[in-house]
Amino acid sequence: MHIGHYISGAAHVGVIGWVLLGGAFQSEPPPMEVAGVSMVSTEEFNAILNAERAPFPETDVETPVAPELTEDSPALPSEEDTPVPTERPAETETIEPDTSPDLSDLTAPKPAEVTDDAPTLTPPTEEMAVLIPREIVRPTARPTNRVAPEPVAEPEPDTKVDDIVRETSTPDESAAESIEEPQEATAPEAASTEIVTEAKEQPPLAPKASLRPVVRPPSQASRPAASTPNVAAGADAAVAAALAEAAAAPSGPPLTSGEKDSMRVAVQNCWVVDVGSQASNVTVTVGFSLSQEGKVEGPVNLLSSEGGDQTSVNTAFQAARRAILRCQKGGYKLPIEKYDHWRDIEITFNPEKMRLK
Amino acid sequence: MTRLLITLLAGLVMFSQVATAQNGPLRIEITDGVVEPLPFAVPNFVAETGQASQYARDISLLIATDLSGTGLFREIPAKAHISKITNFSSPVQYADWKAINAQALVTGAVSVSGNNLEVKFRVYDVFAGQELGSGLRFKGTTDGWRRMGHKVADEVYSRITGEGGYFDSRVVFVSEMGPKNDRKKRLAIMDYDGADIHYLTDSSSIVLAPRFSPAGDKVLYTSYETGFPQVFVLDVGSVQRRALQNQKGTMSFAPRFSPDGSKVVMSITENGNTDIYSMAVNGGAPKRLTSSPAIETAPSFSPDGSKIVFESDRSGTQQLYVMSVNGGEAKRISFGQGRYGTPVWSPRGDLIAFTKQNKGRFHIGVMRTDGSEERLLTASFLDEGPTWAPNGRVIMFTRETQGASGGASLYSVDVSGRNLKKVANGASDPAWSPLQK
Amino acid sequence: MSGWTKAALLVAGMTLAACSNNDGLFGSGSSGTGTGTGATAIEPGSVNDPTSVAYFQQTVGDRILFVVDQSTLTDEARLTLQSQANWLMENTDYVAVIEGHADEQGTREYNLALGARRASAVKEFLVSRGVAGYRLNTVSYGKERPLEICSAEACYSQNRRSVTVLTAGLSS
Repeated sequence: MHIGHYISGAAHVGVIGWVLLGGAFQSEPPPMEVAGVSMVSTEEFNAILNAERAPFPETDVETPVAPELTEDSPALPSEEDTPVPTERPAETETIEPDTSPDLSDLTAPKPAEVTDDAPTLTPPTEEMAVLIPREIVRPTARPTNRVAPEPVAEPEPDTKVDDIVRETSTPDESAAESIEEPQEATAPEAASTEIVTEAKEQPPLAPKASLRPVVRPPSQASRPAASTPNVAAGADAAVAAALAEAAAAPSGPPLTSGEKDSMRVAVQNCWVVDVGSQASNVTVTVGFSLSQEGKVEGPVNLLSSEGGDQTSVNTAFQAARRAILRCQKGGYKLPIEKYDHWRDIEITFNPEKMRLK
Repeated sequence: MTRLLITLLAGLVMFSQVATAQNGPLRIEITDGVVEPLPFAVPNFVAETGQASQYARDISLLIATDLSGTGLFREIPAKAHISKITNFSSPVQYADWKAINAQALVTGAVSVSGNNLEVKFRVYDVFAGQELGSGLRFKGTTDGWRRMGHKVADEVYSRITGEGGYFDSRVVFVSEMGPKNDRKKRLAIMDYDGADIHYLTDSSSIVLAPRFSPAGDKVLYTSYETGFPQVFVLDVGSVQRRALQNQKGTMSFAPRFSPDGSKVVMSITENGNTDIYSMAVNGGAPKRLTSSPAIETAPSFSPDGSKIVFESDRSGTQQLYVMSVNGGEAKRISFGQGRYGTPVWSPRGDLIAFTKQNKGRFHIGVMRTDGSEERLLTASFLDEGPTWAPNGRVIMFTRETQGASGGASLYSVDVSGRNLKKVANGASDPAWSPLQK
Repeated sequence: MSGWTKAALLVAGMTLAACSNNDGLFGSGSSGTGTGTGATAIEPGSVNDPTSVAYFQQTVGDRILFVVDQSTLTDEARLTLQSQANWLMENTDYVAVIEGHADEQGTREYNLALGARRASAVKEFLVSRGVAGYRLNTVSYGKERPLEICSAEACYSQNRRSVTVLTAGLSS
């Protein structure tokens, strides 16, 4: 498409130019065909995968591609898979030169046509950095790219904000992955507790709401009854409490609220909510089992959901599953002597509060 | 009494330990999460033929840029990758991608033969260790590589977010040049990301506020080419245009298509009074929908075609109202401080975007269609004229800067208020197309 | 300015000159600037001729200003418009297009409608003072054609205006 010619023609010829332009739009690419790509079968895939995995001495390779994994996501069928010969085509050798190191730098593609065509229009690259607000002091709600349960200050300028480094350089993944324990080599990415839109960031010099305490006391509802010191308890209450404790204490004492909380915090720090999405209208409850090492065993299952259509439910479920699987790292840190209390876990992910941030 | 209780309790405890050795699950509720971009990896697509390597590189980069540009995703750069994808059919080493915290992985391959380009791809949920959806293949021409890349990115976006994408879309807008008191304006069209600009008119007369037809093949706009503002309809392919309404002594502006593309609503001004009219695209007499002495303009259809939201100053200041497509009584929906204008119904139908003026500043905001849950997304000297991405997720608008040297630019912002960014300089009045077919 | 003396000689030809003066009217909408357009330079000296366009623009006053978001005529505006009406009734060869303008503080569509209100208010006033309605057309430029370009009230107040642009329409 010789757009450049047309454009410069248009600029010079004026009224006549745009009439000529008509041709430019007739050269639309022909309609694209869309087709399924043939796939390796699941069995074959697993076989290859397991075979190829053997030589890898990685510690966290253990999660096998269990066939059940597909059961918990009915909307993501892999039935279309058809066996495909796995011999490597010769052309693949030519790929190597492709992997030039700096390719992946996050700069936008700037095809030559853009600048050629329109000297007045520069392609999109600028971030909102141009729009520095005027006031200097903003105690809480700084616009950050990240909104997290607890606010996180900007890291030191030269601290690497990088999930990757954090993960690899902290084999000791304290279950809480706690942003309130910044002794890790890399600082967590700065986060504010609410979504700071440009409209919000303008006038308020004082925080609209005070920061939440770093570790909030768990709500009454989520706290095991027995761990609640009930000072004014009468005999009946004592009985009830004792009964509750008894019922919940098959082996060893129940989880303390702190232990339960650390599990909650560990997962919520990996639960990424897309607040503008339809899926953020969906509350899902998922169930899974942990091994004694605190690692997820078997599938993560969707138990129930509330709100949204099937697609949104699926998306919400996937986000919940990712949170659980991703934050387990080497295993959730829960007291082994209480294993029976946390072997099976059900987590409800309710994004309602997030939507309002 | 106490002793009795304790004995009783002891019995119960023993009983329950036997009876519930396998006790109920630990139940946790999580209401706090993280709002942050989801890390993904798009290793270079495999070039399956000799000529394909440049396309493979460009397309992978385009996909990564599309996804990162939403603010919902963050690309993990290739230098951090442990695995390389050298064969599209090889199984994915999930452990390698987990290790770098890539939550989604996109692999693909490109082949070229002559002018024909074929792109295939797969999306993986790394931590779940499974593919999201199944592989897809697009066939097209090398000319259309950008569109194919956008289409792949749309599919990837859709599989991860569960919502439609918007990358394979275009934006029609007004290109602006020159100082404020002698600004040259021309209609132009570009890809959603600012690439591939074409001009649709010259700059000999003022043009304003183009709007796409639902099929994306036509554009309504206002032009002064007869000396008076008048609504025109332009065919994007042929660039042929015609005046839609030509009643002497009137001006017409602020047009918009109905969702089925058959009708146009717009403002017509007669004797200084501006009201909203509806007429068939193919002609016929305009039907009057409002008839107050107030300024009633900027009408926009609901996606089901049953209602129209518009602005009116019948209360004394600009406010938003909703009425039936046939006119009649209108219900006011905006009640906050300040003035509200240019309402646009979202394609999802759940929100209305608008321009708000309050205390000397302009905002782009959204509210529910009943006016509740108003949220302001931006603030500046002058923001106006929101338009929705085809999936109802992103809003693009005009931002004009202050002062004698001020100029107009296009900005976009996520409906959550995040990810505000500039799309193009020297441009105003954007209108987003539907997804291309 | 070099044509000052020459222009004085051309007073008799004013009607003709005014005709060419307004050729670019519809296309540019810039005739309200008074000093800036090349067209008015044709007859700078004609200010002294009470039947000239320049006289109308500068002595009678071709523009009036409005209060923010208003289309009601101020007392000062009425005085100017009364003079315009008188002039138009004496110089019946001319027709006029009344341009309505708004400042930049407003949305595009609203400002178009507001400009139309302003132009219409001027037209109604002129008609009420005896100018034939068919001689007057209105057009709104909204905020598209500001006269002053700063972003301050000093400029805004000059931009909230209506300009009566003459053209020798009836004789041709």
